[in-house]
Amino acid sequence: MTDRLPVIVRLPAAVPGSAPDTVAVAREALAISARHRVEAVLIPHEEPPALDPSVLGGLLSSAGLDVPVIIEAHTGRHAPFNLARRVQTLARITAGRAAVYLRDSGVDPVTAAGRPAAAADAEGLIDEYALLLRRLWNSFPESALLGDREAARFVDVAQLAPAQHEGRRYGVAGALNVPIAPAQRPVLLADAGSLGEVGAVDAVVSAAHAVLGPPAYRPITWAADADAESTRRSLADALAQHAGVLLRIDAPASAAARHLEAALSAITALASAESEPLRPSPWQRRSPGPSAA
Amino acid sequence: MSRRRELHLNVNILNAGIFGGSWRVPENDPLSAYTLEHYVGVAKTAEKARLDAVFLADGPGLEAEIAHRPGNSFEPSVLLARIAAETERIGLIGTFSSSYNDADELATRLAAVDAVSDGRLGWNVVTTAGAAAAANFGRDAEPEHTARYERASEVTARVIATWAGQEGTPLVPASPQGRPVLVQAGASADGTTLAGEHAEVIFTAAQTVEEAHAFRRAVDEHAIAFGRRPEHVAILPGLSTVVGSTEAEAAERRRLLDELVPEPYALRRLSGQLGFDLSEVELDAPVPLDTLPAPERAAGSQTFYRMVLGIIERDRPSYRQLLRTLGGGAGHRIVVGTPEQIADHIESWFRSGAADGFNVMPDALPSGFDHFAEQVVPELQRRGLFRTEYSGRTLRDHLGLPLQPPLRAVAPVLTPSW
Repeated sequence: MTDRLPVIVRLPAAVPGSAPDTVAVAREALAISARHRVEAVLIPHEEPPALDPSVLGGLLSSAGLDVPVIIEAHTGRHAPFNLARRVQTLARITAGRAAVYLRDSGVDPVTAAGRPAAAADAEGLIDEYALLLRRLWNSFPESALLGDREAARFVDVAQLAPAQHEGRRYGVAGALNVPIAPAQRPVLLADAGSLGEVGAVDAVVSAAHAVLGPPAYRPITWAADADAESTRRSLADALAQHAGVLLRIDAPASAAARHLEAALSAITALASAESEPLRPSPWQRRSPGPSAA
Repeated sequence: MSRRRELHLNVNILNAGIFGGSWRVPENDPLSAYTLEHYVGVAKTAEKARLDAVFLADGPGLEAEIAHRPGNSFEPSVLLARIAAETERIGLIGTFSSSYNDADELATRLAAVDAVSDGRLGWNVVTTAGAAAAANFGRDAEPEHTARYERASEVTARVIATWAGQEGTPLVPASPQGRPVLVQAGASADGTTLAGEHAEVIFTAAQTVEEAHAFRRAVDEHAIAFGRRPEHVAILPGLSTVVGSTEAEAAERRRLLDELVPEPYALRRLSGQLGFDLSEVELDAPVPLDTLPAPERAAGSQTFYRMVLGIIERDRPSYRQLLRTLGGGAGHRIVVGTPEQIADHIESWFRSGAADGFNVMPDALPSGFDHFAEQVVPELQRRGLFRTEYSGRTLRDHLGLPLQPPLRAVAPVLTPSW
């Protein structure tokens, strides 16, 4: 997808206290992002009373735009089965335009209630969680859905691949109940620093320059009151090093759309000045992924 | 009744339909229940017919019967958010497990659906029976029945407290209906207590008017014990409908649906409900009543076990007759007939006070609900039983329930244990 701008736009998820305003601002930012052909948008998890990212993702999917939506999710809030299912649901209803940005915040309360020892075990948590998400996403291939009226066979259970995961923290037996085609499976992102094995995910968020590993997105804030030239330099640096940009707009809601337009225009100009990017796109990943075995 | 009672109707979008063979009817796509359009389409039809709400059953796991029939699939909070974007008035009731969700996370997620739908959400609280779901959350076995309901009581109270903003600063966005409507399903002793404590709508299974009245009395007593008003609880039994333009056509359709139930599925399901393996029994032998366990000792869903036991006590059927009565469905009452006959049934239950309305479970989806919406609803409207326009915008408006922002100062009576 070299015709895409290597940018993830962080949508505004909370205009305090007013859900309709939040939705309106997010819709506008999504439309602008789609027009600029960014690689994806991110719905962040923010402090209450922000809207839940997966719910906002479900709502915004009605726009039918050709932009993948990334749900930010903290491990400390979601049992893996529940998160895997919501993201797979979003992927299914958007024909594969869904992803999750997995953040390390420890073990969730539902898992901890069943396995008290798991809660204290912090090492390698994102790696285990990521592996488990992939297994669940791969567990019910679309081809298993038969719907064979004559033979009275609804699903070919031989094609199911139950997670059968028994790890340090998590135990998940079953297959997910949301089928999906391999080409539509969700994309997985995490912070580079939270991973033991960078190959566990499709893309990383990292402030540092990395030569090896999956495609990286560098968090850069476009602030209304900041020195525009310095922001432009940061953007140029990221692009020169073949990193993508995780773009956050820091502006009042009323001015956010204008600043998003300005930022994306600036990045478009910078990107067209670069030579042909070497960067692989995680949004074209259509195999089960490295850790799915 | 002093206040004017209104009939309430939800449609339960139970994947391809209530019967085990629903997905095989010739007029529908057999894989329809695995498409977004299926759910959005039924919701739009329901809104056009001015129903109170769509209802989504759910559980976090793949059903053992998936080889033979569709199951729950799309996660309800994401799906309902999408349906909210494509509809304006219809209420949106989703099932969310109290055992396998964290109260704080669930409260904020449900509040988001309620907010983006402008106050149309209902939460059907279920404890989620079964070892299969437990094994998806690191448990070796399902928590026992009473422990599940203790946790349900605690989780429900905590979710309500979060919605009410008990700590001062609002933790969730504001909703035009104050907070989502609480729905409860399940007629075990523990379930009825939970319903009396929290439920504003009860989805239940009742085969006879007498059973329904007895259930209503039990719920009323519990509600009063928790300091609540019984008229603020709407009881909506499940009602499976098979509509035909003539009686003969309806009977023929019912016969077809019986024929379409995959036999391994029907046997397996009844085995689960009765607690023993039926693969070896003689299907024409009578079901032996004296060897069946008491409801309290039955594994799985007590609601359906009680209901099946009731049928066996009343009719003394053979296994084959029992399978036919249940229709490979979930065990809710099945009415077969013309639009007028189905309207008669609804009217008599409603007027007797046995039900405030129904959770309609069409024989096949979407076709069976089209029949209901196009033929039965107009008949109910002609009789002055059902609204012809919405009078409000929120689910609470449709159900005639009071706004519920304030918290009751009553702590949960059941004590949490896990």
